Amino acid sequence: MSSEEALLGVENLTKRFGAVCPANGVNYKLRENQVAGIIGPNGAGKTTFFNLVTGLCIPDSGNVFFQGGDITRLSPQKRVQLGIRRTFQLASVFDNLCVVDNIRVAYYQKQRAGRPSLGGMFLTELVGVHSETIDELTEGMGFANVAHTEAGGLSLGNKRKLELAMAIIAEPKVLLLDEPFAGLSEMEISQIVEMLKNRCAGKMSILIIEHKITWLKDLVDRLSVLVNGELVADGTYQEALESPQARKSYWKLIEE
Amino acid sequence: MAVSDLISTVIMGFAVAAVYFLLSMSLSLCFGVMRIVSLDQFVYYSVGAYMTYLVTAHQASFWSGLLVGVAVSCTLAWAIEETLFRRLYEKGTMFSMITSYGILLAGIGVIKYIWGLVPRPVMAPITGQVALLGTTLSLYRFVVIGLSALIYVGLQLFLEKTIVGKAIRAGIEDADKTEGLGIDIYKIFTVTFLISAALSALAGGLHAPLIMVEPEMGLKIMGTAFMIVIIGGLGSIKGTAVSSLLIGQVVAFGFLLWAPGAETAPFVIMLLVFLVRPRGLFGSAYLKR
Amino acid sequence: MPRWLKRYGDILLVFGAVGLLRLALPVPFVIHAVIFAIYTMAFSFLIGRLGLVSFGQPVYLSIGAYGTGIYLARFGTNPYAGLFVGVVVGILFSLLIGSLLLRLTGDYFALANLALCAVGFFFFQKALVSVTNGDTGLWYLARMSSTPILNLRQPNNVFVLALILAVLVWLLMKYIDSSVYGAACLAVKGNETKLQLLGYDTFGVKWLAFVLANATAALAGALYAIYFGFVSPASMELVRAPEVIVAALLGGAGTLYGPLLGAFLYIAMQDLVSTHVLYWELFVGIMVVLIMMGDEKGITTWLKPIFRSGWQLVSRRPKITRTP
Repeated sequence: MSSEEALLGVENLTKRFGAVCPANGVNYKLRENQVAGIIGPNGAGKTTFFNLVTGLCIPDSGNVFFQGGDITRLSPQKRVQLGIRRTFQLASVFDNLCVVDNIRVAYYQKQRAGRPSLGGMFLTELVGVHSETIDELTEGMGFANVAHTEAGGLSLGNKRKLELAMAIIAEPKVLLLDEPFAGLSEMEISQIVEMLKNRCAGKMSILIIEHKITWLKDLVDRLSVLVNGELVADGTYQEALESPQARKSYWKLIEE
Repeated sequence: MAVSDLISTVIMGFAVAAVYFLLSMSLSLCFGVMRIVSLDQFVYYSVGAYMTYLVTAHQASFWSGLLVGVAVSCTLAWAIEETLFRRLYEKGTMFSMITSYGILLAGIGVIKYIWGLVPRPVMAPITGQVALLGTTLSLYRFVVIGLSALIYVGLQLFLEKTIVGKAIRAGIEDADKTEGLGIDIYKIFTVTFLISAALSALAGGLHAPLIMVEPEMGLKIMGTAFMIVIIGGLGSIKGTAVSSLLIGQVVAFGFLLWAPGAETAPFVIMLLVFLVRPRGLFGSAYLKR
Repeated sequence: MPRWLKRYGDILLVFGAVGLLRLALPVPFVIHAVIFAIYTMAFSFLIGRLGLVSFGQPVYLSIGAYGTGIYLARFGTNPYAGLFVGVVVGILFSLLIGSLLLRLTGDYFALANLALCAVGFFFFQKALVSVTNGDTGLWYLARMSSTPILNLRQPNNVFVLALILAVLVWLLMKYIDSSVYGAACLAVKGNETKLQLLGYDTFGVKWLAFVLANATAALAGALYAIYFGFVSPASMELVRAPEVIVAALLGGAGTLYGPLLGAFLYIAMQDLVSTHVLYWELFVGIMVVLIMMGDEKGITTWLKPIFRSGWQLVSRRPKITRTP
């Protein structure tokens, strides 16, 4: 498959931090509407891979493609405007804004075709930013009671959901999720899984980094294993887990 | 420009750099270890200068004045650290910055109350002159340069060889992890604060014979001292040393060529450094808490 | 009640009260306090909405004052033109300085502003002596021409103008709070990287806020320049830098009415102290330390319950509760 056919692709992506090499010639292609997972031991370079794709760090060599165009040198902001969204390992929301305002700020950018201008922001009233999607999302995610409280006071699970809502509402083409289940209870995880299945699958490509492999089983179409900055296995869920390298890094989990 | 002018300017530049270094070093240490912006260091600087004035005015030796200055400043710093800064370490730098500004203002008020507004002269302890390449230079300047260099070496040895010094360096890297090693980080903070106060007092005492001692001397040097710390990179010892030397020469040559340049050139240099490196020459991106 | 009255009624009430204060208190005090409140509002906006702490606010105040002063002393005589020149100079200056300093992160930004203040003072005192007359300052009170409406040669009219401008500034601030831009400002304070990753131009957000706030500071400076009829570098001294910080924190930084309250309290205390105490630095210094040791949200936090019932009569509380 050439890079033109893929929605998002990286070629020979390499990044070094001193002696550590979290990305060593990574080649990866994500098709449209594909839901893919990446697993790997701690320090394998999963988060660095996301940082390289979203532009938070610049690769030493190699390229990042999106919709056939080279975006390796674009700023993070430009990539977001193209339709690449991500969440963070430590849920990242605006703690000093209330829950609805968090969603409104995210939605406003989408409303303005990805490029909110200063003048537009200045002239638009915040309460004027509303839509059925916002209401429905706030209700559907159980934020109705906390809609007007500061996001800083939310539980970790709710912050994750809020961050996800802020990403989903912009209807990105690619959604990158960095350990969305870490630190959450089973109950909260299943809520997030439901949310991803119902609202995102089929509408956007999703790439998930996760340690809790079992939760990925009926979520992903494809699974890859990243070890020491290199992709060692790639295929369906079963194929990836049965590869020798994956067995090595997840020995215990598979034994169970 | 005659060669003799050039030489005396360079020497003057080093002497100024020596004072700047001591003062900026104390600011840099405070920021590096405790992540506080300690504007009250300028109180200790003024106290150091006034103590040498007081002691020399009573016919005692300049050097004992310097020691008295260090002792008084450290006592003061200890009291302030115990009562005020303890409560600020966990808060953001804004809090320490504004609080220490309050301390600085109050200190200036007290100094004005005790000594009045009149600038006081301090006699240099060494009045000898040295002839060098056709020009005569005050020996005192060399003494200042030498002392400052000795303190730099001593500080480096202290930080690298002693247990407390190693703990301080670990604190600069990551205070939380240092605490995790079972080191009482608050003791380290106190020690660092006292060292900083001592350095500031020394800077004030040594600077006194080169300038006039006056209540607002701390405010006058504040702009330049902070520009040096910023240019070098907050929390970097090496950066502070390098930028002190640079700014010392810039200030000295500024006075020789175009007086207003002496005050504005450091600011222009700071802006230029920012354009290339927003965290200063040796500032680290990881120094964040 | 019309919608605008519901929303902005409390501002009319508060400033109506300030207007009434004019009858009870000496004119110089109320003028000084109202102008100082404009200055404090600008600073409070920066610290409370954007989380930008600037230690060099006197620079922006003085740029406006000198813009007006130099115009009135050397070029024109109309004080309104002077006011305009002062604000324009303030805008240009903060556009330039903002583009350089806003690249810096928190601590560097605060300290670079401090350095700017030191350099600015020196510039107006020594480097530009031929234009500014150095420490003597520029005197032009006699040169200012009378205008048919609101003649600014009379202090009473300066008070009226200052009050009108203060109300306008407050309306602007209150409007910003309700706009998407206001939310973006708070978002910059809360999590700048996240806002960037939502596709926003965070530098632009900060730049606009910086220019708005410092143009407002310049406006306060220009008003001072017209009221006093002279400008001198003393307004730019580093010792004056904390004044505005104290006033803002006294009232509660980022609250809408805090700056007004803080400015009045601060100027009142300063007036009282300077008549009784010789060394005001000591007093202000101790004040600063005490405020910082106390609650960072200032006195409006505990005054709020008292005021709230009164305010609710004229304005329903806004639907969105967004504590700064």
